Amino acid sequence: MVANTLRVNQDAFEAALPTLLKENVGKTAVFHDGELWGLYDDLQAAHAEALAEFGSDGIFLVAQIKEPRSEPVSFAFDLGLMFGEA
Amino acid sequence: MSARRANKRPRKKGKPRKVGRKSGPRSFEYDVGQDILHVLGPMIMARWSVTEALATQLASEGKPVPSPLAGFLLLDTGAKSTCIDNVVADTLGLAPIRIAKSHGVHGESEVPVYNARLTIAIEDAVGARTEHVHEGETWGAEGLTALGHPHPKQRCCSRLRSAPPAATASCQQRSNELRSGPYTWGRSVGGVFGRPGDPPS
Repeated sequence: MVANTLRVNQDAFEAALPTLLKENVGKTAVFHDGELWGLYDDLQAAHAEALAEFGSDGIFLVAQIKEPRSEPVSFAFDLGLMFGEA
Repeated sequence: MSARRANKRPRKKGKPRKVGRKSGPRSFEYDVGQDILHVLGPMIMARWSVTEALATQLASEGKPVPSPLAGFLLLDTGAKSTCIDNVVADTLGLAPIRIAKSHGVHGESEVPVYNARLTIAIEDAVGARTEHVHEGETWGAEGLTALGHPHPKQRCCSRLRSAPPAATASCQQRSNELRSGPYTWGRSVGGVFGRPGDPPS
């Protein structure tokens, strides 16, 4: 049995993403125990259902189905350009 | 004609000039002064808390619902997403709901993503209160609580050292005031550092 960790669920989500993208773009997926547990229309509905099912200490993944891409958080923050004078 | 005047949009004839409210302030007091704006950046009061769904779940399990953490939200127009310091998320008992890939000058990294509730409340002089509440994905970030601290990246403090002595003393004093207490941070991208005695309503 695979340990149910966020990493396991994340890997399972990423592996399933190409398939999920074909018919479920924009929906939100819940993964538990490394398997797809449910699909919902929005994040809050998905999170609420997962919490009700697995409890507040439950380990699960909630992620929107969309093309994966690496995003910058803030170059200014990284570089320290946000603050102070030159 | 000055550039400012030249750029002014002409007012339509016959249309009455809009006037401000006769009562109420035309400005507001902001106890984070120019010195802090100068050194740390623009900040607004905000509160982080658990989402309604998590609060409901915790209550149904007979567990205490963590109190909101109040403080300042640092505005960063170059930010891609709203961020919360991982320490703040941990204090609220938030568990990451997924892992996101991020890149910056540090290269590529993975960051935890939380589902959190952000409340921005504005109150005018007569007590009318407006609250903007947003529940959604919030990226975890490291180092927001270090804003204004001696820090490996020497962000704010290197600027403080290069500032004139009077400004340096003032800024350091205000920074010390702001960070002495149970301050917590988040950002948009920015920091919430709470103030002692803030009502976690």
